[in-house]
Amino acid sequence: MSNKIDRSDFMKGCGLVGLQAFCGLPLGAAAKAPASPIEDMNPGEVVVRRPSPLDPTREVSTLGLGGVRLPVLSGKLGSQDDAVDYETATRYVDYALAHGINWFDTGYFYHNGDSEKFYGHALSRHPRESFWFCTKAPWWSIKSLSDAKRIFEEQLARTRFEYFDVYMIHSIMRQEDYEQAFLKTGALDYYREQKAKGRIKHIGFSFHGREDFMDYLLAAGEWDVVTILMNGVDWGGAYRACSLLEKLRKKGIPAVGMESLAGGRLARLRKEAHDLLQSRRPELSDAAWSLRFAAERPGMMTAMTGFTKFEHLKENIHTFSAANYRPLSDEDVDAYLKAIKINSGGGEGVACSGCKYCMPCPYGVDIPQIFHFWNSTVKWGRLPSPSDNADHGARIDFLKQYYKVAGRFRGAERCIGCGRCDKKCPQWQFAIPDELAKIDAYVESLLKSEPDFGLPT
Amino acid sequence: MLASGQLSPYDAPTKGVVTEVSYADDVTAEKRKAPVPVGAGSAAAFRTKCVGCFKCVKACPRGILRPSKNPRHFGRPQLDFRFGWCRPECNRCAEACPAGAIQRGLTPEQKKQLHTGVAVWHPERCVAASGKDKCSACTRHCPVGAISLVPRQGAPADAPKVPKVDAEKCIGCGACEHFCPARPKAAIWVEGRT
Repeated sequence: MSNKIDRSDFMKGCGLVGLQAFCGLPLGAAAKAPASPIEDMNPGEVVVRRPSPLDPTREVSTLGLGGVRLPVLSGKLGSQDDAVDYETATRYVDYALAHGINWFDTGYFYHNGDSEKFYGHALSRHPRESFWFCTKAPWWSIKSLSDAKRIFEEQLARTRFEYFDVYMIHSIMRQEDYEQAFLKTGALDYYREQKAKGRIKHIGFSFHGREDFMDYLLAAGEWDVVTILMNGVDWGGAYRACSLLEKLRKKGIPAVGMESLAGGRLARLRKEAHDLLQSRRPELSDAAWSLRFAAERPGMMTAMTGFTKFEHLKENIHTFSAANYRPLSDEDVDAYLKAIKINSGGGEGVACSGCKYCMPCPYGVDIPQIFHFWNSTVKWGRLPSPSDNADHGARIDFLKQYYKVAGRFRGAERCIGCGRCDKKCPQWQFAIPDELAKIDAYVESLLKSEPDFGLPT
Repeated sequence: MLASGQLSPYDAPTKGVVTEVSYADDVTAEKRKAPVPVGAGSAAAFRTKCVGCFKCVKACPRGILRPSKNPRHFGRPQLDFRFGWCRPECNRCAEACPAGAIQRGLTPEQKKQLHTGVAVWHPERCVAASGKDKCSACTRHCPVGAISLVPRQGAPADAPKVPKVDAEKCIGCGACEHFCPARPKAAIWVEGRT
């Protein structure tokens, strides 16, 4: 909701007041009030809860909420850079808690720290035992023990909590980074100390590495909970979520699924994939299939998703509500994985989830925006041919949109291949400079056919 | 990156241009010469014919033709590669010119034969030469393959490779200058031929 008012709104308002004065009508009858989550409360729908493997006396919901992409004041969907819209987001959190969701997850640098602050604000209005709160320590900011202490204390101060239910090592990818940040500095021992003091209840890590690194981590330390990527793409893809989950099950460590919709890429599937899923369970949307799939794998404690729009939250709660809960059968799961394969059929998309860990680029490339635009164009089959005369209009449209997204000096052509982004990218299945070079070569081939295309000034 | 908007790369100091590029010896002596539109022949011939109507400036789809600020040929169009580079496929300036100062009807192949300038490299500004990052922006975007990456003399073996301009091949289109990441001034720029 934007609270800005422009000239035409003002005139409309004046007209309305004048009309009301003239006819004697009550003002509220003519003006439609915005839909409020509180008014949409549906007490019949409560998300399925299970006793938590971390603490059998407490329950945990099968659906959790993440904190990377919260509603922002600018109203831009999926934006992480803007300030959080506290009023809207607080209502969403209230709504989620009232409908059974009690797992909330955030990180130190989400929304430049505003995400933690927001959760502290929103959740502190509820009893501390009624929810699970999880936050994470970024390994790339921890150079010494004092860094680890400072960040941990800052997180507690931001959220104003006495303790964290779960404290995690954020986005760990390589053994040397882990050893450098947590073993050599003694940060991990510090966290265990805090656990003994009761300021951390459970310690875990969120995992973005390869399988052998998971073996190393599981053998090296004692962990209470692990967060892994859990969606149809990463299940059988290079990340091998299926075998990671199997390893965790053998150890008896509960798993939390992140990126259940792959950063929104699986919220809507291609038509062929969509039709296949609809033919099996017409009542489930594409997003519901992905969330169900993520939450129902054996060994999973909860699956997390973001919430930027109230409709999404409402739909997800409906998907997981106890009243109409019917788990996916084995045939359904096979059909879902087949649909995911069809969805990525072109194979030209980039497996970027838009987490923005790669940013800022020292040379100004807006990496996640470019990949997002590229993926959505590829997914809907809207790439124009570089040479076909009939595609002239489509080429101009593509270039206009591309430069609108990338901006004049932030496009893929500005990448020089220094590789700093690749070190920070949690998705190691692709190399960012290579993908940018591919996109640049394609845009260049379009520009060759369209010499008259003027760049925006 | 946007800071370059306020600075003209034509104010580039010519002191300290090292003779690693074959052409650089000439430019150490005098101030930088901006290139004239491709197909205009020599700068002197172009400025004799040009009537200063700015129709080419208006017609250029990239907005890279701009009036000169040099008092000796004030207001005459010249190429400014901050906002784009001169594509071989485009010939709009020639079509717009009423005085016939720019040759009309050039095909991309013909335009690639015309040399309006040559690229000059400044090692002290170059990202790759500083050893900080490896960079291939100029090489990757050169439409005629005139820039190659070579190991820098006297640098360790694993240091990033640096560009070397083939003055015979270079046509002065400005792609290297436009895409060069060095700020506030490009480390490789086009010196107009006289």
